[in-house]
Amino acid sequence: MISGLSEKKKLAKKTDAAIEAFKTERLRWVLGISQVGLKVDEQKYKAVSSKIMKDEIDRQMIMGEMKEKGPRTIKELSEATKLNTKEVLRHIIALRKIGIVSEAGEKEGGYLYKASE
Amino acid sequence: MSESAVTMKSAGLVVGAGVAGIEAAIKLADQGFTVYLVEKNPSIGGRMAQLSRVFPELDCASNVLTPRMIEAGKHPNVRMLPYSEVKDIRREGDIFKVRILKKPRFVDENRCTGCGVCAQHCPVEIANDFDERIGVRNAIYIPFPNAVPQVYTIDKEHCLRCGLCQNVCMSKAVDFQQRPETIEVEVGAIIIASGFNPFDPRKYEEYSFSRYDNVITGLTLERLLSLSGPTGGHVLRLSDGKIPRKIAFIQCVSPENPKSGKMYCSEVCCMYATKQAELLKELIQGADITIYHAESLRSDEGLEEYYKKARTEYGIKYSKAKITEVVEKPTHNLLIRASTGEAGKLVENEVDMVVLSTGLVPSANDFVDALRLKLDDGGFFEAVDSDSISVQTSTEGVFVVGAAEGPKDIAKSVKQADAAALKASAYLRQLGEVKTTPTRRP
Repeated sequence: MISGLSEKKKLAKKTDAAIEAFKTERLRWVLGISQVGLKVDEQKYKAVSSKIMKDEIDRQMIMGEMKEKGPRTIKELSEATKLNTKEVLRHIIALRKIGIVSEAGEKEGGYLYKASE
Repeated sequence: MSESAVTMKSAGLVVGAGVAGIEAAIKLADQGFTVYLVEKNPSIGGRMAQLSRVFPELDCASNVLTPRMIEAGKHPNVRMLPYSEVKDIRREGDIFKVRILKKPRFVDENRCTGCGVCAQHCPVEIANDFDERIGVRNAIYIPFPNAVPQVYTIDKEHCLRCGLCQNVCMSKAVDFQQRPETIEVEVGAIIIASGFNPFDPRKYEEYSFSRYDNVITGLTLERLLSLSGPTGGHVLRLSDGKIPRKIAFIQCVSPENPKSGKMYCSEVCCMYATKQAELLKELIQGADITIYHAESLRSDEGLEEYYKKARTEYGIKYSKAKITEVVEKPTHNLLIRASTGEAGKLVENEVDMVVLSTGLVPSANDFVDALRLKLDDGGFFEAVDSDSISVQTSTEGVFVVGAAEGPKDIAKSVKQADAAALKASAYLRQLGEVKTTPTRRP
């Protein structure tokens, strides 16, 4: 029963992340592109659009985790989101670059990251 | 006197705008000559722009380089040609006729203000080569924050032509119609400053580079150490973000000289590995660092003192050993196997991260035939004069500086650049006097 509950909770988290992701300009652009009718390179678009969608949802999960629980390490974020540590690090580096994530000390041999919005 | 003669006797070409090319261009331009400074990348700055702090005083590389980059950009006699490539050089008498291809940025250099709003809206995200692919950039980008010129470039290969950047650019600088442009110039002297590339360590399979995330090159470590780098100067493992405490450096990761069967000495790896080890010691509490070197450490003037300081003040360990294998454990830690001493005693060491001190290989050997230049065994341009700082190639009017002439550190590169600018200006002056006489070769 307990595991069922936690599964539901995880699903809810993922749904929340997806909703947040669909609010971002990157995703709105990906979905809206065919309607706007810009001359986009179809093949390139197909190749990148699914990656952009997955990235944005994963990043919202990471951001959600930090907003809810405070500063987290890569390892903790990986455990919470089920993304591997290398993936989480890639997202953290990208989020850091646009200035919405920053370091917040160290814990258990890793850097802590916080949402700095 | 014809106009081309005027241009010729008062103009020089510098190929490559790294620290040596920038220095040579400024010094030659200071003498009153017009200098075309050609750089293939979107920004000038070269390899030095990628470095964190530089040997031996640990000065911040960008504090040293950025003012020089800006000076080159502003110099009234320097015609900067970034994102351009020299395609052809023909010698006609004393004149070099140079054809330069200016690659399309798809951004108007005169309109772009470098505000960066375009990149904020670009949906494409790819690995940034400038950050040794740890960091990311968009399809419209500047390679690094202090880039000169502060002009964005669209990477055609990854751009989707969605037009978002065009829509948000207040200066109307985005121009998808831009075409390559050919520029022809005539110069009297050429300074080659095409620099180096780091050696690709995949050649030595025993080091397991590109197989394991935590085996990195010295240049990647520079990007991790850099305050303006992708991690803001926080050194971490690329596999899991863990802070590495136990770190091993492997020296002499250079190409092999077929004649001697030994590695080419990169001339700089002993120094930069020691420098990086010191920086890591300052940054990471309790860091345990071993520098493995198969060959003897370089012993130029002052270096013994430098190693001594690293040993005694920083507690950095040096071990003369040949690494035979690097194996990853399930924890992403790396097990190093090495043979030491004459007896070839085998030792093992488990570390968090391995840094390969890669050597320097030439980045270009173009125009060897056109300019009748000589290359040395390592493929670097050969300087033939016997001066203490040699920069003269086997062709009159052509000089070579920096790592294009052979592996060397920044200080030596700058000294060569100064010497070449002096020699090139003397050569151009003498050429100008010759030109005023009616004798002109066909």
